Amino acid sequence: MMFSEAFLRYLVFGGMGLTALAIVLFIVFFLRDLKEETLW
Amino acid sequence: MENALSFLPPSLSWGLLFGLATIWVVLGFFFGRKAKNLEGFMLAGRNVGLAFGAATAVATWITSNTTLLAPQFAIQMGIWGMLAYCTASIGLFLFAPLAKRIQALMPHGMTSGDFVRLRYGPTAWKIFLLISSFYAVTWLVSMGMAGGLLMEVLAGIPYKIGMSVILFTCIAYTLIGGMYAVIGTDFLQTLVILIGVLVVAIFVFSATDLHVVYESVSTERPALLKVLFPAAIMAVFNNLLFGLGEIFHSNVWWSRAFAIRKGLGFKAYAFAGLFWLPIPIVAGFVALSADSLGIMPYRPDIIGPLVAGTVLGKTGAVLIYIVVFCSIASSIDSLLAATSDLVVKDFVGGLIYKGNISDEKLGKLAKICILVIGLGAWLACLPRIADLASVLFFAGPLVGSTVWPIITGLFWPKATKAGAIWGMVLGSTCGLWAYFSIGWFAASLVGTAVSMITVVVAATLSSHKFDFKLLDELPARPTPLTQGDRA
Repeated sequence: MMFSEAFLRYLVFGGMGLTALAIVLFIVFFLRDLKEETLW
Repeated sequence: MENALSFLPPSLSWGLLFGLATIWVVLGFFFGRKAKNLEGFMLAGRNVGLAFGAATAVATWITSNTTLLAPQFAIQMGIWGMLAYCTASIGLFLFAPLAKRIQALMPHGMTSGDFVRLRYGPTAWKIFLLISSFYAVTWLVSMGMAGGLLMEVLAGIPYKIGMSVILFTCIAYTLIGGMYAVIGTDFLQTLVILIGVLVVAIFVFSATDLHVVYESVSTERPALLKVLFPAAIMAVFNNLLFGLGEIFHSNVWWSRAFAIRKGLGFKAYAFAGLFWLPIPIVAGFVALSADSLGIMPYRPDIIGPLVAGTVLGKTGAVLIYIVVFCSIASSIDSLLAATSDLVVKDFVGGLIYKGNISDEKLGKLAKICILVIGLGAWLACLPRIADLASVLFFAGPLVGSTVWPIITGLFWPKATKAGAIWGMVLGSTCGLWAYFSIGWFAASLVGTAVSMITVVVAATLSSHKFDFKLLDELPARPTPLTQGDRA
């Protein structure tokens, strides 16, 4: 039994999407912490 | 000297090396200005927010292995290889509830050694310190060596120079700014790594077609797409358990739990796990595209940079160079800071001074310690031992044996001192036996299983119940050893 092409597609798109989301959320968290003076 | 991949001209390679080194030292100095006292230097004032807290965990856990070994796993073990590497993020997810508990139980704690000493007493503490220091030193030296080797392979910079520049860059800014410098630079390094990996993946994705990638792999190496691939499935369990052991016991992760603002520990580690999870998949996909892009033959250990350089040319090589530099620096700085904290607070403050030492003196010793550990690591890296990775795997069963004493010690009042001591001793012994008799892939599993049985049996047979409030009595300075034996 082999992993299907669709599975590979979901994996790659999911991985790239999650990485992009991580970048956006890190920037959002940073700006929020900066605004609320809670960076550290 | 020509670089091995021929994508970077020597002038650019040297410029990048010294440019990046200067940038991180300057930024470390900038962030480190806030370190005014011992808590500031060692734990960034215990007030780190969500952005910096999650980022420092992600950056530390993205090592050169993540950016280079993950593609190798993909090219050797296929889709299971990508998934196997992803399991390392489970350690971050599972540490989230532990971080919450650690913050609640030990508002004045400083190291993982503090917990073991207060929870299980001096004997367990000394065994734990031996295991933890061995692991920290092997990880630090392996990262230093990886830095030198990668600078040589990626940019043609001689091993000793590349290794020395990366190591001394991290020593410099960690020495100047302590945990503030480490966490501040970690945030920027996380963004650089995530953006770099994503940009390379997008360009590789545009240069080929996923259908073609799938067809090439299924034609050239069908085993990589098999659902039942025994070696890869075993790698899943080994990676998972080794990762759990590494994170649960190491002061690198405990010091961050203490540094993050109270109430944010769970969130920071949960987000870190989520954000770390896709990196091996994205890096693995880049490697899987090699066949469809006609990149043959290749070395599995540099397949990621090779694909990036082929698709993006000089730009791709520069991106990968920066990503690799950041991924190594972000781990070395954290290891330097956390290991120095453990040595100063537990070995010097606890074992030598028996708690009778001022914060001011501890602060001075912490800086000396960073310098000594850094120089020691540099000396150990000079001979260029080729098989240090196997030494790191050797630490797998040792750290695996600490998982259950840590978990049960934090959550189960019946967990005992004897269970923890024998769990670590028997787990390590049986795990090392498995390492030599069966293979590296079974060592962590055996070490963790034996430790679990020992700890659980000892706790079940015991009628003693530990009062968790005792963990909150830790003063700012180390307590004398005689107060530690409470379990």
